[in-house]
Order: sequence, then C-alpha cells, then structure tokens
Amino acid sequence: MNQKEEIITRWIDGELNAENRAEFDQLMKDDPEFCARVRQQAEGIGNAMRSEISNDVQPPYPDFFNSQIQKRIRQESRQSSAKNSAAGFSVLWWLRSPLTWGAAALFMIMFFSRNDQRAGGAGSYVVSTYAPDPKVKVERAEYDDDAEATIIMLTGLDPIPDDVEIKGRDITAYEPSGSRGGGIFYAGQDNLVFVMERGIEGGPEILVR
Amino acid sequence: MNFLRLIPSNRAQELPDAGGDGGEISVSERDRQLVERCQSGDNQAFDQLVTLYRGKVYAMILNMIHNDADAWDLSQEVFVKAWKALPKFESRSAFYTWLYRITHNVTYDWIRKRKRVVSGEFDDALLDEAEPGALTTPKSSELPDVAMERSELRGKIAQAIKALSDDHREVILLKEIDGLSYQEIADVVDCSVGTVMSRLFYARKKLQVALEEKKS
Repeated sequence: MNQKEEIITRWIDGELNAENRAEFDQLMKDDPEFCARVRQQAEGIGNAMRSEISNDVQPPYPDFFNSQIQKRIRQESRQSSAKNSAAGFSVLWWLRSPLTWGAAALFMIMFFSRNDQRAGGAGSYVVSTYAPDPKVKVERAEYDDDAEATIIMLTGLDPIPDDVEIKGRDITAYEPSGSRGGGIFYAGQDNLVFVMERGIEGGPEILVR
Repeated sequence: MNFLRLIPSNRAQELPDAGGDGGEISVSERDRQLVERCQSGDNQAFDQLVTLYRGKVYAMILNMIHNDADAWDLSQEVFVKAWKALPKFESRSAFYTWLYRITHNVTYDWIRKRKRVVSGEFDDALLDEAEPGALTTPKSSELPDVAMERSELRGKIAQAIKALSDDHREVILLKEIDGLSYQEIADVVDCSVGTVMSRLFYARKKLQVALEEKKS
C-alpha cells in the first residue's frame, strides 16, 4: 500500500487528518477521476455488504442463550470458590498442622513467659524461638516500638497467593493459666480469643473459643 | 468519551437502544452503569449486557465462521470470558470495543484450532496468498441448493467475503458492517492503524475484483 493509496483509503473512510489533508487536496486536484472512481467502488462494496449482511443477528433461542450463560457463570463461580478453598487449604496447611500450632505455642510460651500479665508491648522480649519444621527459620522476633507490636519474621514457608484472604487476630494481652505454658489470650479488653492448655500427650493444645 | 461520535451516523442508530424512551443517556454511559453494577456483583446487570450485545457478538462470529451452531457456542464463550474479565475492565475503552476484542480472540482461537484439525482437508492459506482477482483464486463452494435459495447479489457478496483471508474479512466487516473507526478496529484486533488501513485496502480490492469477475 503506497502513500497515495493510504490517503485515498483515509478519505473514503472519513479518517483524513490535518497532516494528510493537504496531500489529499493535491491528489484530488491532480487526478479527480481516479479519486472519484476509487471512492465509488469502495462505497459500492460497502453498500452491497450492508444491504446483505446484518451486524445484529439474534442467536437462535435467545432466552435459552441468556439462561445458559447464567448457568455457566454459576458453575464457574462454584468451581472458582471450591478451587480457592482448595488453594487456601493447600497453602495454609501449615496453619492447620499440629506441628505449626505446636511451634506457635512453644513460641508463645517462650515469649510470654517474660511478659507482664495482660500488658504486652514495650519492654517485652523474646527469650527463645523454636520451629519444628527445619525448613522454617525465625529470622527476627523482637518488639518494635514504631509498630507497637512484636514482629516475627519467618522464612521457609510456602508463598501465599494474593487471592487468599488471611484474617488474623490481634492478640493484645495474655494471662497465664493452668499448667506451665498454658494461658488465655485476649484481643482488646476482656475479649477472649482462645485458651492454650497442655494436651494429653504433653504438647500445647489450642482451644478456640 | 461518547463513542457515538466515533461511528458513522448511519451505523450509530443501529446500536442497542440506550435510553428506551428517546435515548436520555448515551450508549457508553448506559454500558458504564451496567458494567459498574456487574462489578459490584449484580448478575442481572450482566444479563442485560448479554441481551444488548448478544446479537452483535453472534453476528460478528457468524459472519466470520459461517456456522450457526459453532457461532452460538462461541458467543456463549465470549460472554462467559467477559464475565470473568469484567472485574478488571477499567472503562478506558468503550465496553463494546472491549467485548469485540474478546470476540476476536475467541473466534481466532477457534479458527486456529480448526485449521489444525482440518489441515489435511483444506488449506486456507491458499486464499490468503492468492493475488487479488487471480483466476486461480480458489472459490469457497456451497451446496447447490443453498446457493439457489440466496439472491444473486447475496450469493456474490457472501462468496467474495468468504474468499477473503480471516484478517481481511474481519477488518472489512468491522468497518463496513459494524462501523468502527480505524483506531477501534486496531484496538479490537490488536494491530496498528496502518495495518488496519492496509487490510481494508486489500480487502476492498479483492472484493471489487471478485464481484467484477462474477458480473462478467
């Protein structure tokens, strides 16, 4: 397609811009018959196409067409939520793993054993950490004044996809209870979240409220 | 941007009715509102969009592949894909351009798969490579009884369009039948405006030659 053909095509389709308008004017001046002939041919084709081909053809059984789409959307939604649940389970397996809870419990035991009752915060420190899975390492476990929280950085955990929603508990207070290491955990004033006790086999056991 | 300004007036009035009683809101505004409702989880709004655009999507596919049953299935696929992608739609382009883009992708995926399956039976590349108007240009054949049912002009046009390559056919349909601008076509088929113009030019040239051949 040469420059002349491009300008003619733009003219036919009403897409001439200021840049090529002058070139077209010159072309029209030099060979008006050529321009008119090309335009006539193009318009003839366009008119013939539009007279015979529709741009709006209802599909057979249009109501059924819509209902099938709604049905497929419902199916897709169900599959998608099932997949997300499965993904959530597979990714968060470590949260459900007794070993992880054991690790968390042990971690908390060490942490809170040096903490003031139901106080938390500045001045507290972590005396020891332990993760039962050797791949998981505790990179950092210390109170951060700016964050007003104890920051625990773990490495070696499986990545969590962005579409998995994780809801956490903001534990603000702890009260030792029962056997050594047992305790009651609070989120806010008197808002009990869970109780940790020593289980039958001697390991920590979380009782979710 | 009101896309009614972007399309030739003779095609604008063929777009799905926006206002219902005199067109109080533009098509783009109506679509935007429906899309927003869809994005907030309103399935009825999506059903309305399907009703508004199913005819255009089905026609576009049917004009490309010439098979009712497959066009029906592919149109379904288009809307299911659109529903999945709607949360990411940001209204930077008109909804119908975006929907046509999905239609283009679904149709071309189907054409590619079909070409692989039937590659031993018919080679569409022969149509693509043939010089416009060459006497050796293969003509797509129709059953005689079907052809007889068609009017003479309809038959000529249909055959000439069918003989175009997929790329040429799609661009000229989007231009002449759907009334899209160069830029809108470029957005739909994901190519430059220059490529759109080139395809249009050669599509017209081929159609002109094919129709003149049939006249003679």
